Amino acid sequence: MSKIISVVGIVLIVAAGALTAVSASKEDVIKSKKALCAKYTKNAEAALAQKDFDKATKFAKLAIKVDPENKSGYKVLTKIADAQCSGNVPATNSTGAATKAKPKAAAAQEEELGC
Amino acid sequence: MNEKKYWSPVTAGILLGIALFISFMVAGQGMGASGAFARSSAQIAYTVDPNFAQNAYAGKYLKHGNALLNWTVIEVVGIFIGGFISALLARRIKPEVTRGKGYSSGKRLFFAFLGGVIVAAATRLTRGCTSGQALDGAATFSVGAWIFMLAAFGAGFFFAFLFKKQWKGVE
Amino acid sequence: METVFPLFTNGFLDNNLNLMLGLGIGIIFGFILERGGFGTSAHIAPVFYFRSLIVPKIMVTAIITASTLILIGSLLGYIDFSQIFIPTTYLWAYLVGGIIFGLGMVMSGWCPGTAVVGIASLKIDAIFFALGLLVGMFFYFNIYEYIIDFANSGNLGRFTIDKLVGGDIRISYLVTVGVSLALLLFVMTMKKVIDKKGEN
Repeated sequence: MSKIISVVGIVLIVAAGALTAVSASKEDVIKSKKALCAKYTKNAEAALAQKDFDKATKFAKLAIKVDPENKSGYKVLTKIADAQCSGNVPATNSTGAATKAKPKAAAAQEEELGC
Repeated sequence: MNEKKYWSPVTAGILLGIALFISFMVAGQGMGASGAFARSSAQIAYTVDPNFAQNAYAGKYLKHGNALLNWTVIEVVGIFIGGFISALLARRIKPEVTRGKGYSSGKRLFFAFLGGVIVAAATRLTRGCTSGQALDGAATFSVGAWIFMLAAFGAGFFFAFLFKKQWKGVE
Repeated sequence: METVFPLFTNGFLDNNLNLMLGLGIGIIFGFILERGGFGTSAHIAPVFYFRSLIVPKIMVTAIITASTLILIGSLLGYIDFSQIFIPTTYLWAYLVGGIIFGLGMVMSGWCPGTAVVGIASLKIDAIFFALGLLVGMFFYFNIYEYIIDFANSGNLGRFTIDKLVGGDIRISYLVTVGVSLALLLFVMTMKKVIDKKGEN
């Protein structure tokens, strides 16, 4: 009896997967990459706001990796570099206020954007 | 395969697939086993002779402290525990040498050991075994996983005739 | 913080927590394997004589289930597929290594993962297999410098199906399902042939 249930189960799983793969379009794949990029960018900005430069850089790089044509990852990297150089965390959209912060000691991940 | 509290392979497969997915989603990697043995071997060799850290292959396991402090090793400990619990509940814990009818235990254990030596070396070339390379790799669309699977199972079927007596009537 | 899977590789889990969860995940794997009958070589070896289908059935089912979930999760934008670990494909090493692996597996009746389960229920042949594994690993460590070029030959990188045939994750999934089912059908047919032979 349970054997029948599981066979029905795997048939449903294959059907669901095949249906998804066949009905999804190239645009859907691109949309999913953009969604990931947006999430990573958001996380990078959030980490930056908390002055966690390591985490912010990691997320910014993931944003770039996942959607290389999207500029937002690069923008955040620039913001991070600025913040590390000047000690100022630039205004983010959510709070709209810049906060002064001690620059993180030279664990600089982004050599190419250094001070 | 009869009664004794076994799940049907399709049932086990669905559950295993879900578990694999969870593993990928949490740790970024799936079930693995051969790596744990490689690391254990390296750690034992290192304990006997610290110069082993210079070894061209095993050195990378020993670079960051204890070679056993690794996700796959700990996951394999988990496999042992889970297998133990299931066997205990199903009353399947029983020392025995699984072999064909009338086949010598000694010969069986020899081939089990020799097979282990062969499989181990093979997994270093294939970067994993049926769990870490075939299952995980195929589930993540790796072509290498299929190359491995076709070669391994192809060879298994091909060389099976050599071991007919060892397995005849096994249960 | 927006959650993106995998959790660990994307920085949502610290290393110690990841290890602890790994233990739990392993326990689940081990339990399922034992329940599926993979704690004894008596269930594994007959597969190589087309007398049992449990290995291809469980593998195909698991591959299809896991890859379906990965496909859907990726298309929905929850999973960063590029962060899931896939071993690099080394064409020649995999071909030769695969053949050697197959020989060892039918000889011993075990593979490393199932052997761990076998040890847990005191299968002595599993214990000997595991000892062989440790020795074999040591052997390989010592010969590696002499075969290092071969062992790293045919490096195709992170070689997913879409890189081979073109396209994206959708084609990877469809090919995976297609090939899995085709191979399952093949072994099922072979088993019928062997069964018929046995009747005569």
